[in-house]
Amino acid sequence: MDFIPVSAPDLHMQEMLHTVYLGLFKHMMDWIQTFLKKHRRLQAFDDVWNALPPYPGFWVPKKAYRKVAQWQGKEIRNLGRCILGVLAVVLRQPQSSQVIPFKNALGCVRALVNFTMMAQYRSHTSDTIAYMEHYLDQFHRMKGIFLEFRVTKRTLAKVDEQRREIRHQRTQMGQPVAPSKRRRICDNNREEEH
Amino acid sequence: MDWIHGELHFNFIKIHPRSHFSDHIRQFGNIPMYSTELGELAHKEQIKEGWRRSNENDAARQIVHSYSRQHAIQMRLLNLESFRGRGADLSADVLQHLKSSTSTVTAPVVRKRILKGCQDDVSNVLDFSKVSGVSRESICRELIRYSRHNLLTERQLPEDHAILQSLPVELLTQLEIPVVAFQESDVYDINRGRCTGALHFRNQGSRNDWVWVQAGSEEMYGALRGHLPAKLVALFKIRDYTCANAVHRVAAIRMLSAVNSGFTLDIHGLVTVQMREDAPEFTIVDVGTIHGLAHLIPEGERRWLVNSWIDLRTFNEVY
Repeated sequence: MDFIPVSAPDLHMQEMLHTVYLGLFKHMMDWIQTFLKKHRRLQAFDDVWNALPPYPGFWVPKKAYRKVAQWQGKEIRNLGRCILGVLAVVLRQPQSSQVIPFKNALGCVRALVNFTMMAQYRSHTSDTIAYMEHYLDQFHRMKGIFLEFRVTKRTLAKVDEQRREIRHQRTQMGQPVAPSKRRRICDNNREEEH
Repeated sequence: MDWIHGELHFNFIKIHPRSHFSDHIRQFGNIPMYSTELGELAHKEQIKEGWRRSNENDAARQIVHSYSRQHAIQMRLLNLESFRGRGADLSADVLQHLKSSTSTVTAPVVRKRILKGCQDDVSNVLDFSKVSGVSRESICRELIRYSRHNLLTERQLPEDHAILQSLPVELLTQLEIPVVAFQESDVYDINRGRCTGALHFRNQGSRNDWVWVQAGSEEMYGALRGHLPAKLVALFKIRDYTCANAVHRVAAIRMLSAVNSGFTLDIHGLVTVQMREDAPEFTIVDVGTIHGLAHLIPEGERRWLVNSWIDLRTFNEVY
């Protein structure tokens, strides 16, 4: 088999901006926002977000999180520096049913932020690399809490298709089309997708 | 419903590369970060300066020439420098030039804390109490406490309130604190602590920053390792004319205390601090005990969370 000649600059290189900040943090913020919406704490998030004090090299947010339409790498980096603290304040005093989900969500975000901080070190020892791997493991163990917010377009398409089928069957059987539980959840997810 | 849950997964592309980070570090070193700032800054040297040097007529060609000329000169200088290093025979004027251009590289390193932004309307302790709205008695009491605890016997401030109130004072608004950059030994970041009292800062609300103060030995306060956050109340210099015009550079701060003896809470891994009801209105400390700025996120009435993820240095120290 022939290999197409590969030049070194074309090879994939690990870097922070696209893999971590623009890659994962952006996804994570979507999950967190949906998570907070589910637990009715979005307003609290915006309040804490707007009350952050200044710090050298830290850009104090001027707008509510939801009102920012576009995110630059620098702003997401900023976000990574304060998200855990903000979330810790927002998720305090949980109701008894929220204790476990809040704990897991904080744990998951904490693992990711820890991993990111470790990855930014400019020199490493075997200890720091071990820490990094440990945090990554932790993240993978705890990310399940956000699974329900990982709705892909393919799933949405399938839901649509199923719904159409059900409606079709019901109209054929002469039954009224009542909004089912599934439909309500799906609408919710669709809104998030927008 | 179940099949929807079955469909959900974390198997997307951005989640994968991170599993290679540790191998990448072992083989190639640290993970670099991209920033557009360097590229944008380069425009200044490559384009803007070239434009200014041109006669603005057919400028593109002149800009390119200007930059390549500069580049060629820099290359030549580097070559000459390496020749000199190998002991080559160079003419006197070349040597002179190399000497002058290399001597500028070793700039003096600033390590001292600097107070800036003098307010003109304050000349002694009396004025200071009027401007800051703190009673004269409490300022004198705290000054005496400071002098008894921190100053040598022969350098202590006079304890007579009348003399103490007449001592010249300079009220300042900014403290520049050099902080050793993370994983560096001779590079300093300058943290600028602002303390404007009731005055506005850049036409917006007043600004009185949070700072880290050395409050005890390394073993105290759990994860905070002997440091406690405090709010700047005032920055001032006081000159003691009764004792050889000695100048004391001090800060009035309001100390916070650590909740849970400074250990992190399991749930989020952050330290909580609070302002106790019975805490004194302010304490006076030497500016040397202020170690840098702190980032606190308000958690409720008189309670804050110490944000240890704000930068790598804090992340490495507070855990």
